[in-house]
Amino acid sequence: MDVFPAGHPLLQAQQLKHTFRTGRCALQSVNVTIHAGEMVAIIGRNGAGKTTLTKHFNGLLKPTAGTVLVGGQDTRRVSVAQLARTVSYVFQNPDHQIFHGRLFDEVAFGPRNLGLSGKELDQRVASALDAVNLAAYVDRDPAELSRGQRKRATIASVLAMKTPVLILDEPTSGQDYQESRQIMAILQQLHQQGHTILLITHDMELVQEQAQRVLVLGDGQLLLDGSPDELFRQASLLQIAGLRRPPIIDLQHRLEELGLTASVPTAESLAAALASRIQQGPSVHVDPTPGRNAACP
Amino acid sequence: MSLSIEYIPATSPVHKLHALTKLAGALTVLTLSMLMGTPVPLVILQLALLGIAAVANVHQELLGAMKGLLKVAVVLIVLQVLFYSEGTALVPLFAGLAITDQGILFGVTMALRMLVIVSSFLLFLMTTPTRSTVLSLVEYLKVPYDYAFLFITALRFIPTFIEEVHLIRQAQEARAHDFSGGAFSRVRSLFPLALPLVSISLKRAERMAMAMETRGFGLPGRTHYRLEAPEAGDFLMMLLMVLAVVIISLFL
Repeated sequence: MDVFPAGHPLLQAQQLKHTFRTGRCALQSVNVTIHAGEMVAIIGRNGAGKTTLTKHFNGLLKPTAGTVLVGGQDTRRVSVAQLARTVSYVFQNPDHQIFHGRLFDEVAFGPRNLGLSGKELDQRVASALDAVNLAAYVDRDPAELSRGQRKRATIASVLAMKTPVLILDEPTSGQDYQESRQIMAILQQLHQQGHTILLITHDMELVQEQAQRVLVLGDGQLLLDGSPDELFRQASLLQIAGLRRPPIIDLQHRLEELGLTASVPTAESLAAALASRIQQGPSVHVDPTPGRNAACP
Repeated sequence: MSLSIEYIPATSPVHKLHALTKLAGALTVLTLSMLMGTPVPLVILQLALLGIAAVANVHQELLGAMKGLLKVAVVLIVLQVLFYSEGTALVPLFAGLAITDQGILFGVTMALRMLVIVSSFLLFLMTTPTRSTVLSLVEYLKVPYDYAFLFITALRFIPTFIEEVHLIRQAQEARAHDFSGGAFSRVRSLFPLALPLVSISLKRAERMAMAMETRGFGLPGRTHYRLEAPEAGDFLMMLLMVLAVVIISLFL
């Protein structure tokens, strides 16, 4: 699968501009390079240009100005079907793609288009369905599945194509907690296998736990390209992007103001830092920010 | 082809007319175009429609739509020219068919008639809010509300369908599906587009019906928040339309 060595610039947007036929400018001069093996989260308000940007990376949209290179190829010169060998894309609404009467065929659709058949095809479909925990439904009609299951079916249909790059538009929307954990675990696993993963999401916890790199879009502009940590330190940016840090990060930052630092923002490390401080006793007096009680005499 | 059938908000004398007047106008144009059997009066009628569109400031949209309709017009002309057998043969064709002078005349007239009728209804739709259309259909023409609603919803959902078609097409292309190909494989290659579209549309209709029922759709005793009555100017316009039909039918 991995034709691109890790770190190789795989997706490049140079001075990318996109104006819709209605005249609305959806992207203005976006410069970004995604390297092979990266796991990137794309966030921003609805209408900020997230989907428009990612649709350029598999050629569904062509830049109105600037260039987009996928594996070094200009997307304007290559067909979407050709690019689908490198980049696969899971759409937000599963009902926009599902049309087979049997789940097996739905998942096999993409690989078949890539020219696969026989044993290899069967095996790919089986392992993709296994990965999304739908192996038991292989002969069922996708229409009978719940929306969450259908969403996972579409993820499986893309997994079976085994492309180096995977783009997912809100993969965890409409999923319950367990299901979204499961999807994230799948993505993490794929990432470890060397796939490059781009995900559009509104789930800040997901960004914090999974992504190495975050792109923040606002009004068609790239507002930040950095680590989740950098993002969470910029309150104004979070505000513009209509986001809130996850509670655990909030807690970490509040404790930092009190002189308590934990290396990693997890419940365990924060609890450990707190516990060790409590054990030390009140030797270091920290003046807590006056709370509600301070107002009372 | 950009066939705009959406209401374009503006303040113009045409927009101000009552929906009923504009509907009558479109029907008048329909009648007139049936009465006219030669290209010249139809061209004049079309130019008049463009004039009205310019007054209503929707001429850009109407011209765009006309450009799209031109393709349909060409097909109409070609079909008539090929299969119309009366008149003097100008160019003989295979199997006893021939291009005749009357065939060309008839084809051009048909195409112009189509253009005029479609333009007049587009003009009506572009200058009248759908709400006003429904209101006048229900209040003055006594159309049952369900049918008026059906008509309006059908129009309302065309842009949504187009959007949906784009998304489905993209979703399948992203899975390396090729929509091009020969005639037969082309029909087959449309399944991945048509099937999700049908299923999504059915689901939407069902959801919409439920949402409407929960808000009391179909209860008897429906009232309207806003009432629009035709004014003096509307009656004058309608009178002029009747006169135009009478005079033109006498002279043609």
